[in-house]
Amino acid sequence: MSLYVLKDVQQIFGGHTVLDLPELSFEFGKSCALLGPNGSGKTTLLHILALLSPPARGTLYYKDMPVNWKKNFLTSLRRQIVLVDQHPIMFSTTVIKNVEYGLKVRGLEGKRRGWIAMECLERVGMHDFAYRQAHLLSGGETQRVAIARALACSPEVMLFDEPTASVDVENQAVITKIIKDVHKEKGITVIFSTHNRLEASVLAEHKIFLSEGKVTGPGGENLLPGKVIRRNGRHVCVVMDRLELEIKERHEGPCRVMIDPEKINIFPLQKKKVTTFESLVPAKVLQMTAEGENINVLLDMGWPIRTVMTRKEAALSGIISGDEVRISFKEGAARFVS
Amino acid sequence: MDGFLTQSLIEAGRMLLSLDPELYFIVYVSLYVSFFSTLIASLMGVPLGFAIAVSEFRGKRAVITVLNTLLALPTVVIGLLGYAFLSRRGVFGDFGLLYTPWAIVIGQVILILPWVATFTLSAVSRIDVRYRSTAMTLGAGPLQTSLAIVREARFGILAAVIAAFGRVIAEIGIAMMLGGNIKGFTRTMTTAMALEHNKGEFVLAVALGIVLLTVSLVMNIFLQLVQGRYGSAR
Repeated sequence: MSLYVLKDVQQIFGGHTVLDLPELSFEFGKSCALLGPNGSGKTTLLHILALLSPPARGTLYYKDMPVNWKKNFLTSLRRQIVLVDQHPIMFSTTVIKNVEYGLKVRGLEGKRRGWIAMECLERVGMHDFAYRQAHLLSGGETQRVAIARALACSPEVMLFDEPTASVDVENQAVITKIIKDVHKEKGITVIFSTHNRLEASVLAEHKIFLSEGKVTGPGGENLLPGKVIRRNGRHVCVVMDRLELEIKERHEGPCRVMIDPEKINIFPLQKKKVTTFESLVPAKVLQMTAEGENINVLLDMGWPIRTVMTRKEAALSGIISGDEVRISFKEGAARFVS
Repeated sequence: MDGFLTQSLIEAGRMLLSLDPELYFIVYVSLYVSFFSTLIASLMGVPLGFAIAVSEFRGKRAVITVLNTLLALPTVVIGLLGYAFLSRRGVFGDFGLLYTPWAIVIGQVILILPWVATFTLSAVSRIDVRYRSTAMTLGAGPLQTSLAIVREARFGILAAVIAAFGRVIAEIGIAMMLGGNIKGFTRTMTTAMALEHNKGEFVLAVALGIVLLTVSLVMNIFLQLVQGRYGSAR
């Protein structure tokens, strides 16, 4: 069952289209990561999913029903969904009263509110801070209290806007674990935006890549700036003056291309028998992370780029982090984005 | 001159300590009209300022400009207009309000309504927009969201209300023109001080001046205490 379906959704700010989604859906009970560079529309999408701002165009379906954006209808729907901001703001009162807020507006009586709030604070390890002034907490503590405040509302959907982006490593680990546990134990649908590929791999069953307000499909993080020129009747995108990738679109001039991680080959430097060795691009392996059955490889070729290998390929190649390698691109690896 | 002032102060002190009924009735009338005018202006001005701050509508800038202009509305102009409406020949003449404390209240409400609305608007506009989205995402309805924002803007709003009270308790034009400075009925601290000054009697005027400054001091101490108790660590 689809929890959310977005059809022809567009969001426009100041005459500029910041989100353009012909069709997108989110499954009930799943966890999903929204990946993409700054300004790609992740936060805008989360605000629409949280029913905080209506799209300029298109329809949002929630539980197969089109959302009625009139104020009176929204409150009951919003009570099923909670958004935790990247920089959550606390009401100027104590921590526990902040956590109780969602329960108070739902009309729960004081004793029960306090009990639930304390339970949620314990879950995020902040029960010792219950009677402190909330605005005196650090960034990481604020983020944890914001999660407790959201949990207290017993939502069906939790949305997180870059939950670990502005906290220290210790709090990152705690927050990641809380989100993972919440999704696993309570079956809450979790949708979060992040720049952190590792975090997305750990927490999300699905990933959606956004770029300039559009879903770019797998590999959306491999966005490279370049310039399209015509050579021998073909359109070629020149990236960083040394990499030439053929594209199908008939565009000329500056552009951004997306490179499919599955269409990148990696060769260890020792394999000197590769026939077209000179045509390969040198790169360095920065990071290798397990992602399901595959190994995700982060390469530095003067620009970070990701590729995917099967576990078997990785084992056979003998490549480890820090190795100098050569990479090549299969036909159709580059796709014109804008 | 110094001796005269010192003597007036000593006499005024004696008058205050002897609980002079005339003096304290004047203080009572002043506090009575100022309290009700501030209360009514707050009940109207706070929601008005809040509504203008949080809503987007055509002509919002024009409304704000009008409110800002009304901040400089002279009390004598309000007195004249009030007189025109409340006198026997006026539209509301049948109510017989002219030269009553309620005529002063009406005039003072007109005077400070723009103050309360403008400063509430300013206080609410300064509140972080995330409070609104946070309240909404936590399940608050439109009214609950509004109350959450007002709560966050409470110090600014309280300051606006206290400033408005300070404005009306110290004004003279409306109290004189609409109240008529009737002894034992509509005589306020400021109108009494003006009268005593005209008579060359400074003792009561100085005593009332002391009370006026004390009221202002008490209001400011109250504001400081509230902000210190709840807002010092913000």
